Amino acid sequence: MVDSDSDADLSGIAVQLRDSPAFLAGWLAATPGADQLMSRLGLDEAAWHRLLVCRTPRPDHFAADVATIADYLGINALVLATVLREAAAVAALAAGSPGGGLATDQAVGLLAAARDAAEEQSPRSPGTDRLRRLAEATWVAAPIPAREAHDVEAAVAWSSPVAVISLPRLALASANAWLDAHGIPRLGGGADGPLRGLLVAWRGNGIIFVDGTLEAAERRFVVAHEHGHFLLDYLEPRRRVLADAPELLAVIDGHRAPTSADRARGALARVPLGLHTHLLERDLGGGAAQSVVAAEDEASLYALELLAPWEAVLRRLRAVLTGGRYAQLLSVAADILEREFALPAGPAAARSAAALETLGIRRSFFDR
Amino acid sequence: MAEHVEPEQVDLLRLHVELCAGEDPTVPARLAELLLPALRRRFRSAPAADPHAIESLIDLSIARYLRDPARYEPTRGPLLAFLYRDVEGDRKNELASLGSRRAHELPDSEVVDVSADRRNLGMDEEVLDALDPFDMPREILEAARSEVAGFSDQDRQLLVLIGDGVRETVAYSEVLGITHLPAEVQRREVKRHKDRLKARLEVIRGRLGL
Repeated sequence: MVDSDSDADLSGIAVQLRDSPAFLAGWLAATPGADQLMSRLGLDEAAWHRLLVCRTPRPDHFAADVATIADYLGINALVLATVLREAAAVAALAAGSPGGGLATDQAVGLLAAARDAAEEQSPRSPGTDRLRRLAEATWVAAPIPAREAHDVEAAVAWSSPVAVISLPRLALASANAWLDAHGIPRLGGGADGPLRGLLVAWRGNGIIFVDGTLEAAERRFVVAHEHGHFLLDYLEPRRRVLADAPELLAVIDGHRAPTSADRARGALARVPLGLHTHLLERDLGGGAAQSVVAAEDEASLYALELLAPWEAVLRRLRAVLTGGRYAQLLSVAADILEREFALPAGPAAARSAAALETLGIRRSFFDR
Repeated sequence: MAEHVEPEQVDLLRLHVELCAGEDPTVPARLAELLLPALRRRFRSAPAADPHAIESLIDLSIARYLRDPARYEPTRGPLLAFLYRDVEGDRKNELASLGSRRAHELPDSEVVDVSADRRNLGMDEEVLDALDPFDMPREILEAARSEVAGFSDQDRQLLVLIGDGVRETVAYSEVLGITHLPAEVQRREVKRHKDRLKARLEVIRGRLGL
């Protein structure tokens, strides 16, 4: 009656668990094309069904739970983490925004932040303790091998519900093509010039698109910068909502339209209902609005802290900068940050200038 | 795979305890790998309305247990015996249903849905929501909070929301990490967790004599 060859085939149990998000069968049920994940993970059908019968990783134990599942299935833990992050982000975005599409200037709670290909000045400031704590938390959430390899993309995937997608010649059009292919409404608005990075966040999950043609150092910085936007402009306000006015999350996630009472509660709780920041827009003169500049600076400072932690930079430079003219010292410092911390040239120069100032090394009269 | 090896009761019991603890995410799959072949072997010669129906009933029974392991009480017998009785009950119901259908000369095309939970979930949820089963006295919630060591971080966060009277599903979904799922699925899952916590709070209330 029963074929003994298939006695341990868990497919039937996986089907029964599709309505239960506590199991990966249910957690992945809302992800379009979830079956394709099987080949990405290098699993055969039997192993795929074993994966589906596993419990969903707990958000506050994500790294440990994913590592346990990967060990059980004999697959790479980082690949599994990356796939699960992407699956959740795709499911969230596929659920659509209140308008049916992801129009960034209309959707409440959708953050779309872009980093275009124009040269930008990196902020010459040491950053804040808050940014340092955030950067530290990102690394702490990653397993030791990822930390030792300074693998930023791995740290991002381990530490937060974000997927990193690399697209050649990134632009709004190529990002929209990717979203289309995954059953996700297209992004609206914004010029279609080349982009280095683009963050889309919705319902607690995010996707960072990064230009696949960038050099390694630039790519790391862009991913770190977009991750900064996700944490600072999306996740932190969202957590504030959860703490101060949890009833507003349904509005922010587009499950219902805001009422006037919601708006009042939002104001009292210091929670902006229009949570998104429309960073694609530039003013008529071609420059960015002041609020955009501030958000960009903060995201860049977070990226600098993630890639070249302030204390580590000071410690290293204090040891090597023993004397000389300001321009020489600045050049030596920038070179160290490029070589040892893998910063791109622009951010390395900005970080060096801020560090020299903190170390009391300033331009003399003759350096001007 | 433990295809032809009878699982040891002690192993099943250990995995059952781990399943209830909810720490190791692989325990459901590892348990299913042991239970499925063992149950299939037991039902190999059992008559069924459909040669494949028994497999579905076994899958359904194991899934039901994995979703709600507290249904099984170890002091009442081995886990395999519990699941065998569960499948056997479903199988007999199915046969009875088939017999009854034939007696009433219903068309053959009518299919017995053995996989669906026959309860009217929608109505149940509406009634429970209306009754607000979590509108408990504050002292119970306080007592529960004092037993924080027994709760996971996630459960503690959920209890805080319950204690604060938060009713919005999304707030609980955020804690559970399921905000990417459709609203109806979120609502069902949040309710399941609230029910689970309510049952746990009741146990604590009994223990504290409240």
